[in-house]
Amino acid sequence: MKSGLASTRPEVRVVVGAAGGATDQRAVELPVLWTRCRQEPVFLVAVAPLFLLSIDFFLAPALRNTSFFLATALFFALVVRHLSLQPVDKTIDKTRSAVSPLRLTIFCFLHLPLIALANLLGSRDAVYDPSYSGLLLAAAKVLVFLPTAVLLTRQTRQSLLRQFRPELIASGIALLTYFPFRLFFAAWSFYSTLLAHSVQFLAGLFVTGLVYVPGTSPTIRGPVLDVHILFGCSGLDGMRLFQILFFLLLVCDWDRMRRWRTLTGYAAGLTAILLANAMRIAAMVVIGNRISADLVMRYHLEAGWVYVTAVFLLSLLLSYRWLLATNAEFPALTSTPVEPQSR
Amino acid sequence: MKRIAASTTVLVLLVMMGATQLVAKDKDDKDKDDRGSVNATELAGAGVIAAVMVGGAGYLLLRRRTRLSK
Repeated sequence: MKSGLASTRPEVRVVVGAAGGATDQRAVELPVLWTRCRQEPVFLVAVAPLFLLSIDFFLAPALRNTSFFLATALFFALVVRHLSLQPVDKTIDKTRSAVSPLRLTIFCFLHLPLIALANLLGSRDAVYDPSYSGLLLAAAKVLVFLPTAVLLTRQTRQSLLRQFRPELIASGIALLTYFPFRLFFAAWSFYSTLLAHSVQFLAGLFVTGLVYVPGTSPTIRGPVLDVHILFGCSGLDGMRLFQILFFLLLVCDWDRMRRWRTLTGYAAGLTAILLANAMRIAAMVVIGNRISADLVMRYHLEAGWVYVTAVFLLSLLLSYRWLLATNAEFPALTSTPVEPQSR
Repeated sequence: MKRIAASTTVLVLLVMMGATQLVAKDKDDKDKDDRGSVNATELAGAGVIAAVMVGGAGYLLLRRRTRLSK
């Protein structure tokens, strides 16, 4: 057996949730984790919508939503992480994990209005539609989660909310904030002006004679190079990159992260990415007008990714220890092993 | 530790090279066919994938270093 295997019990095989020196004290073995996962009604919350929504997406393509898959995957991962490290809440209602046919029928029927709504309002350009129908469709994409509530009894819902509140909040935030294309598109007329003025101010510290030309894609006119600020320069892709990497960080370090600091770090990181984006465009204006316009035109797309990755790594380097709790702050890290349940 | 870092770097470089080649090939094909330049969405997708891999590798190295230094 390789390193990382527990040796205290004969039935123990592989340790899950390995994390440094505390591994052998707190991790739960794979078979035990599997038993727990099967018993937890929380998995019904994720599996049932995933199954039915696959059918929904087939019947109503307008409901397709990357945020949904990402949020569900994040929820799964965080719950598994939680179950692998924390003692099981004994008060949770496990007797109702089997779904009654009546609840299942109601659950399926509740999806029908959403499918009908999506087919009624969905169109090729729906994602660009700022009117009420576009907003309704966007709401339908989020509301597809709600019918799941009828699958669970009230007691189970309450115990789930009590036990997995941080995981639900984290995946809810991921669902609502991941890749906010519609928000950016709706706010582009205002945001592009703000971005262009910020760029003009920052670049104006190094280059004289810059002129702001308003428009749908505002332009910073310089002595050598004119820079058009398109929607693609909004920083949305940089935000997406930050979010994917931050979710990876959540999954890997969920048991050690301080919850409020994580939320603060997430908001601060998104803000930092937007500020860094303004600095990136300002740097392009400066380099294009002071050093080489050809260099900017040739490499600005590739350099953008290197830059955003560097910003993420730098911000992580500065904040990583701040986000993590110490062993003393997190009793779970030093608690005794959890006894395996009956199999 | 060094082995992990080296293999991760090699993997990331290979993926980045592959992504760049794919985009460049696609661009050449489209130029030859006179159908315009590479799709911005494809370019953004390749960029995100490469950046996620580099960022993820950097995070995992930082994580490992932080744990070891405890």
